[in-house]
Amino acid sequence: MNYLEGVGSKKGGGGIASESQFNLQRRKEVESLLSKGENVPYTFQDEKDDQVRSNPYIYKNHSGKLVCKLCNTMHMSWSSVERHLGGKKHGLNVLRRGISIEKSSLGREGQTTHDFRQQQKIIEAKQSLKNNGTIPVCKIATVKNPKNGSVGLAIQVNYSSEVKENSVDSDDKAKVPPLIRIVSGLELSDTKQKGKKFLVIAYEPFENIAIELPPNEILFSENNDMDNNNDGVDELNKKCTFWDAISKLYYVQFFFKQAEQEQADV
Amino acid sequence: MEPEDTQLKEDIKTTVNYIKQHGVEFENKLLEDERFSFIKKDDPLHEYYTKLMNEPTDTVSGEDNDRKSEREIARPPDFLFSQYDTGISRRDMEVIKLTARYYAKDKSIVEQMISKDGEARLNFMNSSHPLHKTFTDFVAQYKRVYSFTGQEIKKSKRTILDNCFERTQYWEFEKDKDREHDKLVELCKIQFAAIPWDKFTQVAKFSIPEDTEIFEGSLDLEQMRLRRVQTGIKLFDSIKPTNEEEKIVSDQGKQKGGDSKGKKRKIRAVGETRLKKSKK
Repeated sequence: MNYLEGVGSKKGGGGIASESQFNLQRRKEVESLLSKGENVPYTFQDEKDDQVRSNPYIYKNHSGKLVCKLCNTMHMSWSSVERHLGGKKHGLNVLRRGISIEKSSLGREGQTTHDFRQQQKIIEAKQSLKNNGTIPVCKIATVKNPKNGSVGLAIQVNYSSEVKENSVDSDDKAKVPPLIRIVSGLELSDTKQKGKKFLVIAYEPFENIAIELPPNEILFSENNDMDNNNDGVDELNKKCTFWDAISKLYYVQFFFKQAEQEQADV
Repeated sequence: MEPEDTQLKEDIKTTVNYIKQHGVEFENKLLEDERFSFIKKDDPLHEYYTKLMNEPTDTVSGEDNDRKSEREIARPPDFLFSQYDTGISRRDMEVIKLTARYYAKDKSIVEQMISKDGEARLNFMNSSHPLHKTFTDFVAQYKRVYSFTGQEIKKSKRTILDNCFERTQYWEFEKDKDREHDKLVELCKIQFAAIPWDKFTQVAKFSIPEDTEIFEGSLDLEQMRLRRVQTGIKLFDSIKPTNEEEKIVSDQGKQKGGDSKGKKRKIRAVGETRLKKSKK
């Protein structure tokens, strides 16, 4: 046969594209024209944060087909995607998403408002704090627990003086009992007090009293766990204190772990 | 006649009310405490105390009593048959019920069983068991059923309605009490957050002494909470308050300061000391 002068007769030439290849290329060109040159990312691809896309829910899946993530639908061509974007299903889902976003933000606002009001109350209480500079009479006793044998501390504070000024207080605040807290030296501004530990007793309108404590660990009495009636601000105020409102006497008692005895035992 | 101190006045009133409720015998217990010294005949306030004791009921105290009675409504009796633990498994419940039934009929049979076998199943009959109360309740129910002689219970509609009303009133009262309690707890938390804990006056320093045998008995905080009038806490009587010692020390400091300030200084001329030394 004579192969000269024929189509595809040259050695190494690729030959003419087949009809199916022509169709594929034509389809790609049409899709790029329709999507206006937008780059559609794959679902498994890490999305760049800088890009702001006109259609944020449209992705390509692992087989190259177009997918709407919001509505969980699959599309064969961009014209189908456009029909979906303008349709009822997508519109409804977008509305639902907006509503759910609003709900979550409202919840956060509610919590924030509550915290803000709490802070406001605390600030008002701080401003209305009174302090007449009187230091109450305080008695301290070293005490031994008959059950455990551990050594402890018992304090009695007498708040019965300066009764006249107390009558000025509002009824609500008068009911608040004295409060105690253990303050570490690290919280104070004075550098010399860093390694120390203080038990601070506070009762309005009296001055705050502090008693320096040894570095031993403090034990809470276990028997009081059954007593659910008494409650306070925290565990220390609950279990270790007693406020006699009639005679204005305040009692604090707790015990220390015996570090020396433990070492001796070991 | 009347004491000037408002707190003391209130204390006397409270004590008078308490003694009227619990009888005159309680006076002897109060005599031990120094705070109740007005009960003694030698005390100047005894006349005021006697006056309050002799008055039967003041109008003010009457109102107070009325308010107190309103405030503290007696708790209505619990329902006998419909209140019991629902957290128990069905089989265990059947065991408890059956044992309670026999126990209500005749105690000795069940006791013999326990003494002979010592079954672990019947441990709820011990008073320390958590289910003992449930068992006791069932025994009471069965006893009541057995003791019923078939009489018709005659309760008028009025009585039933009154009982319902009282129960409802008590529930409302409990709700109010809980609300007030919650308010107080909230107030305590706010106060705790508002107190400047870093500003204080150090009163004393506590360290654990080495001699362990010298220590006194500890306070019983539970008992202190239960009692309303304390019969004296003797732990702190012999101990001197720490502030007084500090006051004395501060006074001495002040005196020293005053002395130092009050000294008159002799002003010498320039070179006087040097000239004296050169002469020698």
